[in-house]
Amino acid sequence: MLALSTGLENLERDRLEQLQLERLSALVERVYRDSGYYRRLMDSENVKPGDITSLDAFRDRFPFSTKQLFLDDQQTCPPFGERLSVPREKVALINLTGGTSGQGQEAYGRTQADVHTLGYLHAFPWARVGLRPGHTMLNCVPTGGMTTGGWGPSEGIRIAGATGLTPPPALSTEAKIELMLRFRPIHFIYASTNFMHRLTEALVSMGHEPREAFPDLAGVFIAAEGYPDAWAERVQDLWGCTLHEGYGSTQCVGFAAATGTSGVIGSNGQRGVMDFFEWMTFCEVVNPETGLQVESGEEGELVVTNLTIEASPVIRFRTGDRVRFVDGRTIGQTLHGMECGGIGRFDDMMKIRGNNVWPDAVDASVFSFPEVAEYVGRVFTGAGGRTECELSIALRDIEESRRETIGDAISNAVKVQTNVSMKVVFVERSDLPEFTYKARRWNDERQQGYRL
Amino acid sequence: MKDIVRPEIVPILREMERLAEELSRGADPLLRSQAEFLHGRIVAMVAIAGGDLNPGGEPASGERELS
Repeated sequence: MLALSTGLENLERDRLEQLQLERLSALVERVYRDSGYYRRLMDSENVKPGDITSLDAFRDRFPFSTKQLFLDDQQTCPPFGERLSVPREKVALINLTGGTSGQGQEAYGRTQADVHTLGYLHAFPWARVGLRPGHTMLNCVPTGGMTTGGWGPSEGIRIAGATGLTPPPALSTEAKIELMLRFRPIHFIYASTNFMHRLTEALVSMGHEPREAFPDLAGVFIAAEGYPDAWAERVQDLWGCTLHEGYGSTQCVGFAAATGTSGVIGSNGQRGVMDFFEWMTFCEVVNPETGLQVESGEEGELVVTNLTIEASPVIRFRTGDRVRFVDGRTIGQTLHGMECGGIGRFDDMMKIRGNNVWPDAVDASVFSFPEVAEYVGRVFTGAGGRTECELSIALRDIEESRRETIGDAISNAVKVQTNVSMKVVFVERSDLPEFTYKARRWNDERQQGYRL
Repeated sequence: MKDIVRPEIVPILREMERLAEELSRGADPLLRSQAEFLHGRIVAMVAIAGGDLNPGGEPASGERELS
C-alpha cells in the first residue's frame, strides 16, 4: 500500500471523471457565489453554475483565466483580487508567484486547509516513489520566501513523516555536501535540475562516488527545468537510484504531476511520463491558438484547475507552459500525463535559479540607461555546474572612465528587477546583431552544459 | 486485482473535524487558533480522501470496492 494513498489515484477512468465533475460542479457553484472575479468572468460568457453538467461542458463553456486577468483583478481589488473566495481573516499564508519580473506577481491566499493540501501535493509524489516515514530527505529548493515552492517542501516532508535536511540557500554546494555526509543516511533528494547537476559535479570533484557515499538513496526528484536524456541516464548511474521529475507551480499549489516508480526514463528507454494528479487538479493540454484539447503525443499549453482549494482557486488557468500530452490509455494506465524533460514556454519567460525572468523585464532595466545601444543575454551552465547569466552590452560613445560605473549600475538594476545576478561584459556594437523585427536577445544554453 | 478506496478514514476524519470544531469554540484564543489550525488540516485531509463530496462519509465513488 502506498503511503498517503487514499485510493483516489487508483480510480477507474469513468469514476475519476465522475469525481472530477462533482468537484468542478461544487467549485463553480462556490466561486460564483463567493468570488466577484469568477462571477464576472462567468457572466461575461453567460455561463451559470448549472451549465457545468459534464466535463465537456466545462471545457467548452468555462472561460480561461490568464496571469494578466489575475493581475488586473489584483489591481482593481488589492491585494488578493476578487478571486479570494473566503473571508480575509481565513487567510493563513500569502503566496506570490516567483520572480520580480516586469510582469508582476500573482497573489494567492491560503487557508489552513490549503496549506495542508499544499504539503500533501508535495508529499504525495515523493511518497509514491519511495519516501517513507523515518527517511532523511535533502531539500535543496530554496526555502521560505513567498512562493508555494518555498513553503511546500518543508510541509510535504513533515506530512510524509520524514526528516527534513534543508540547508539554507546561501550555503555553498560544498557546505551542503558536508551536511549531507554528516547526517547520513540520506534517502531522498529534492532539487532543481540545475542544482542536481551542480551537486553531482561538486560531489564527484570532492572525490566521492555518489552511489557509494549515499548507498541508501531511494530516489532523486527534480523539477523546474528540462534536461537531455543522456544526462538523466548518467545521474541515475552515478547515484545508483531512479531519477524522478515533478511539475508544480504556485498556481497548482504544489505538484500537479510527477513520475511514477519507473522515473524519467520509460520502460522502452524513451522519455518517461509525469502522471497528472487528476483527482486534485484538473489538467488540460490545449492548442494555444484554438483552446481545444490536443491529441496524445502532441504539444500544447497546460491549463490547470484546482479541485479542492478554498481561498484562491485557479480555474482553467493558462500556464504558458508547453508540454507534450500523453493519454494514459496509450500507455496502459488510467491517469493522463505529460512527457518528462521537455517542458518549455509559449512565451519567452526563463526560469533562472527559481525566478521567473521575462526578457522584457531585463530590457526595461538595461535600456533605462541611455548609454546602452544594444545588448544580448545568455544563460548557461558555467564551471562547477552553476547557472550563470551574462549580458553583452554595447555602449554608445562614452568616456572610458565611466564604463565600469555604468556596468555596475546596470548589473544592480537588473538584479533589483529580476532577483538574478547577471555579469556585464562590454562588446562593440558591431559584435551584436541588428534586430529588424522582434528582438530575440536571449539564448538559453544551459542544457549544453549538462555533461557528467 | 481490486483497487480499494479507503472509506473507513472519512468517518474518522469527520469525527476529528467535529472535535477540533468543539475545541475551537474555547475561550483561550491560543487554544482556539491551534484548534482552528488542526481543523483546517483535517478539512483538507477529508477532501484529499474524497469526503468533501460525501458528507455522510462514503467514498466519492459511491462504492467501497472498485474492480
